[in-house]
Amino acid sequence: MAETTHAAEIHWLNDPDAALAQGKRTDQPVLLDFSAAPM
Amino acid sequence: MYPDRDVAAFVSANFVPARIHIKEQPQTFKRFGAEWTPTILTWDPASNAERHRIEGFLPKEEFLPQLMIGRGQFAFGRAQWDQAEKFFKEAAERFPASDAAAEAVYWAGVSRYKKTGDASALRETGGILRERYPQSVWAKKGSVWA
Repeated sequence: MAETTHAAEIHWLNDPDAALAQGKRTDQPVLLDFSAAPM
Repeated sequence: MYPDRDVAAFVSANFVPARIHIKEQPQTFKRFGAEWTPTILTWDPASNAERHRIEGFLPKEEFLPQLMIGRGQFAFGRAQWDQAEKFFKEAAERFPASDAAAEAVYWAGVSRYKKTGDASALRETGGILRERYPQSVWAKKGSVWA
């Protein structure tokens, strides 16, 4: 599972399906951030 | 990037965060109906449903209460009225001067009504909106209750 760390310690996933699977597993909402900013 | 620590803390505590870049995953933009950047969706993975959408940049004092509303809408969509009200109230109480505050007050009142079935929750909410946020669309929406 690809994972990156950005400022202020948010651990962003890069794979939306992995995020949805984790959200389902942990019963949490998924925050999908659609961006054009440099990664 | 979300350089603000309060925003980062709220995101980390309340969401599974995923970032999709337009150049790397254009098909994912289409899949979720993202037509502009930034677009931030609160998504319920169990029902595969969008619960909240932010389009365009917002400064922290607007962005964070919108995230709280999104978290509240996730709970609202699952009929978790206490949780929903908690997040809506947090947005309204921590950011009373934000554009999001009136929306948060509205949905907090609706959550309380959905939980109790007591119409006084809506009447009170309509009164608060009329008093504190009279120019907002949410005061207009709540005007039928007061």
